[in-house]
Amino acid sequence: MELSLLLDEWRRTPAFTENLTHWEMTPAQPAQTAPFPQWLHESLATALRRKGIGQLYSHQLSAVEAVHAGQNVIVTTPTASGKTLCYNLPVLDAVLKESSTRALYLFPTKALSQDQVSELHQLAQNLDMQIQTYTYDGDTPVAARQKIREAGHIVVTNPDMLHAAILPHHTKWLRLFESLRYVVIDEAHIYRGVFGSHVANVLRRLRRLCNFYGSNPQFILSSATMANPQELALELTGEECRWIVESGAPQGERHTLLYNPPIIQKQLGLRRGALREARWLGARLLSEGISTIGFVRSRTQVEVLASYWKKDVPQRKRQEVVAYRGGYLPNERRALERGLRQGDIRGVVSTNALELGVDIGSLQASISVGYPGSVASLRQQSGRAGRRSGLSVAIFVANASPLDQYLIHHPQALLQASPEAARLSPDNLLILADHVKCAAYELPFAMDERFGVETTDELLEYLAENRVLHLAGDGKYHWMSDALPSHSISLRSAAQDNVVVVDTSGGRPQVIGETDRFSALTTLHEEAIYLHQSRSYQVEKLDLENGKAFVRPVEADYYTDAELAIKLTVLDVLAAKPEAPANSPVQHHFGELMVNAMPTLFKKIKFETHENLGWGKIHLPEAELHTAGYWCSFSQGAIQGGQQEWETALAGASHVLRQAGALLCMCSVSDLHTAVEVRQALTGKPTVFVYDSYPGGIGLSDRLYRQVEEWFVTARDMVAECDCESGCPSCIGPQAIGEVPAKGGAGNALTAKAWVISLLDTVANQASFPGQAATHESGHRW
Amino acid sequence: MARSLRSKLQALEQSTGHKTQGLQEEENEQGLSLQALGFVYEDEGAGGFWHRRTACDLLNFYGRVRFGDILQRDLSLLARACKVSPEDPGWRGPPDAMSLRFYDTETTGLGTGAGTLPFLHAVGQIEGDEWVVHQYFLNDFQEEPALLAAIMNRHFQEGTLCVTFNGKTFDWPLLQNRLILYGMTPPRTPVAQMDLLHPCRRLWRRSLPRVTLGQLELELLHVARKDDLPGREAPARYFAYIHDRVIAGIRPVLDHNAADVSALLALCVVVADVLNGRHVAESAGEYAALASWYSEWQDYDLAESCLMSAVQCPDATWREYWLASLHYKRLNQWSQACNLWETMVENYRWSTVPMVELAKYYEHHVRDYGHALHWTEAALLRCRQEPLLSRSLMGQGPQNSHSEAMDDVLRALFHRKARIERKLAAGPGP
Repeated sequence: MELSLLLDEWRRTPAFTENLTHWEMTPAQPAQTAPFPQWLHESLATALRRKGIGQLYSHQLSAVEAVHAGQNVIVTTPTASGKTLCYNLPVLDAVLKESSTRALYLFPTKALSQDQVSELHQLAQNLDMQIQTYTYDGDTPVAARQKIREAGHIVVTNPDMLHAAILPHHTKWLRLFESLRYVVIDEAHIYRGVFGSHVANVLRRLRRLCNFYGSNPQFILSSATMANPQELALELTGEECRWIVESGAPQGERHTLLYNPPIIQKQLGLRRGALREARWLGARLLSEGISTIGFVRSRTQVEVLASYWKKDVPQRKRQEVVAYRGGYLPNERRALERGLRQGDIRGVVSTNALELGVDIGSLQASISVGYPGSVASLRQQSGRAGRRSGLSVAIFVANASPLDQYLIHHPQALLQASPEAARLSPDNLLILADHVKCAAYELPFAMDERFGVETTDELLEYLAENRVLHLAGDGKYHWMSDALPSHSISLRSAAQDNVVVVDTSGGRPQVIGETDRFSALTTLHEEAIYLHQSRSYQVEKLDLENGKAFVRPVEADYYTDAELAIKLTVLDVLAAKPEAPANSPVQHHFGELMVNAMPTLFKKIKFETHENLGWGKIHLPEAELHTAGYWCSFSQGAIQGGQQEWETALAGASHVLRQAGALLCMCSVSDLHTAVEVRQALTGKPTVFVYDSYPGGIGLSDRLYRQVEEWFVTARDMVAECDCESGCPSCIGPQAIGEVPAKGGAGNALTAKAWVISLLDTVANQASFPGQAATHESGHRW
Repeated sequence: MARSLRSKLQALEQSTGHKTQGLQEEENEQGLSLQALGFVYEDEGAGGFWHRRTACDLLNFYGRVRFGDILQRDLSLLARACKVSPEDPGWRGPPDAMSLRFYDTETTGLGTGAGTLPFLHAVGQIEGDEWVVHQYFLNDFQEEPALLAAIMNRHFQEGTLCVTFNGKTFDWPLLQNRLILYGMTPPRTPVAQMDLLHPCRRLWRRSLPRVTLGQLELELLHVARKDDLPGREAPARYFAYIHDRVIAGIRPVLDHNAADVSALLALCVVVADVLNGRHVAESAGEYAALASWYSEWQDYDLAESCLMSAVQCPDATWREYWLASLHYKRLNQWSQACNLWETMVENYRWSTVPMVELAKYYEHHVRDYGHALHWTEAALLRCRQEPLLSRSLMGQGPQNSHSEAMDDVLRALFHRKARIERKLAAGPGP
């Protein structure tokens, strides 16, 4: 059956449509094209024509014209709209016209860079000139490195290699730095949070060295859609970038279906499992011969869903269904990718490994099971289905989490304006100090030199006092240690001093994971159950001093939940609104916090039933976290409740604010921590704290402070739209439930859910910001 | 009030348990100066720098080598062994002792990144009838450009040959880094590099626990330095000096560095002697190294004679016996080959390969099927008796190997046995 017929059938089946919250049809869009620009090198134009490309799409032309005019550019057109040509064209053109020109391509993953290099090779082999494109990463043979440094026109690498192998050895890369004209940053939205903050500093170092060698490269970025691409580009590169957003690529008709599994238990709002729904949806599509990709959250789910599909499709189609996930060997992956491109494989289940633009051609249908953590990822997943011509369908199957439930009821957040913004904080002091050290190793610092922040000189003085740098007679700060600073700084780890988890059961101790010190207190204390790849390990010994936790696999039917006694101290109020709190029920603050955490005891909780099986004491020192945070103090009269009601409302509000905050900041929920105080030490007021879980802060709570109304509205809607009656673990969290006794039937008595909503409403009701009206609309509901 | 950035960072670093490590204070006696140690502040117009010239007569010794010996040596084989070849852009014919520049540095670290800098350079060279060590000490970072210029102009002129120990991948690239950093043009034709590390490794890795300059000095030159400072302590000494300017702490580094270049010259003479046959090799390890050089240079006669000598040495290994036997086999000198194989059968109880060779010899050359069968069965027996040991049949020593390889060998042996038995049944050989 053709896809169009299947869609018709679904449309006519009420049992199907009643589970949909939204069905959007985007009509086919014809291509908007333009001829090649006049300045394009003839040889390149000929090579493109030979590849069957006679014209450019309008966005490609705008991008290459902007680059040609000397501007930095960020392109955020959809998946498969031909973004790579936006940077390959100007780069190849420049090399053809001046063969000393050099370009640096940065990709976040290895697989991606391999694909891009082969695409470049294809285009370059039709040119008159030999254009040298090389991948420089950990797999590059030592013998080839010398040649790449000298002769590579285009060097393809990743930020980690740039940080640890290229910048510290810049003298060996003289040719590259002297003539570096373009820096291409693909998948720029990946560079957010701690990783992004590191990468922004790596790029500061790159620009500093270019400046030394007399070059001044332009930046060309490509990214998934998000709320703030220009802000991201500026923070990442330190340069203003022109934003190219309107796609001129043709697009076949596409249908987007938001599918919410049916409720099976009304009172608790329990729904049927998302994976189960994805099973029959996918099997149906595949049985009809429609190529389908499924996206799930974990590696285990990949195997489970793929085996379901294999079981459910007709015998002869079984070998057309495969699982694809990280952990496969490179040639296995290549074979699968080839099978997908050539159409031998019709069905594939993947984690997000495929989102990143690895070339697999495009499929007719995509099914995303559960929210992958950001709207950008979800869009990239559904972008996997969708061709330049012909029909496609993308189905999002929500699971029961509050974020999923919020999104499935707010289609415009998924389909139109993305609410999320990538945040990074290149000036986080710890990260900045790390990179100042690296930069000093690369080139001595002049006393008045500025590296990111205006107060660079203070930082340099501090490092000199600690004898990491030395102020020499030439007025410059020189590196003063026999260590290579970049070796001890990883761009991808959460905090510098993390705790690695070591499995000691095998013959050889094996590191199976890592976590930051702060989280280690509650997840890696002795006797804790550490969950890894759905296996249980018990912590035998935690060596905080050396950053190691030794674990051993166990068969346990429980997990552990540690309690932390948290004390928050406000170190510095950086901003507050409104400034005069007298006539307002709430006051919002942003500032620096000191969090003192003391793990006290842990509970053993049985899987499934969540029974408490016992408890134990934790003997660990107090931990201290200095970070940036947001806090909101309410006046006593903000809600009409007593101590117990306040406790419930604050606990519930903090739970949902954390979820909503993660959505707005494009970060994972664990990047934000919360705390509540019914009587805050200084003001005596009920207060909710939401702070960045990374030392020094990473820009998350700063963003939330600036968007506080939108944030509270989102949080309020998450609770209000939850299908439960009086508050459930997914909307207001486990802490808030049961603290207010259910006063069913007693007239005006309120449920826990209602208290949380009324507290959030003290801010949400004040909201008046553009675009908000749409959020309340529920006309899209079926 | 907003906190200062400095106090914030301090608090942050303390809270994460991450402390920027400083250097330990070190007590030093006062009163010494660079001048007192013989350094002179020189200025050639490009800025000042510290230089020390230490000279001695060529008749003096470093260990058992007289500095002047280098003048009497033919260094062409040494240059070949160090892979200095006529194809190099810096090649100026067979090396002449006067053009040698013995070079060693002390650096602020072990990496070769842009932030590791040589703070002390020593260049040793022959001037007239003197052995002269020039040392350049970086007393302040601002002096570096002038110091580098002086080194390049005074010592590394065109046609010179830089002799180092591990300098090809370390000291020399670091020097180049510094030139690039100061925008100074490296020499038009690159200075040829003669790195003694690799030939020394080849010759002595078997007899020395670690092939370091210190070990070589001790074993070959019979020099035991007194109060020598281990090289790895040099960076810390320098950082301490930069901070407190107490010269006593850095003094051992200066002496160590000067001694290193003298050792380089002496080592050069010793290695050249071994290569030229002036110094009779004492061990199978040396002979084996020589043999492999001679075969690389296609001087097979010499290679052979080295192998022959190797198997006479008490430290000869399976490998030398094996290579020597193959050599005889190639030359159809069967009796010598068989002698060696039989010795191997005796000496290496785990090895079946020589038995297989003997079986082949008797089967194909002598057509003495009785002996051929004897050796085949002996090999089979050995495989069975010492299955673990005889696993290594390809000659890599008694340890690790796959049972698959074992199976292959067994299969081949059975095959051979069956064939010989067929031949025996068909009638006696000629």
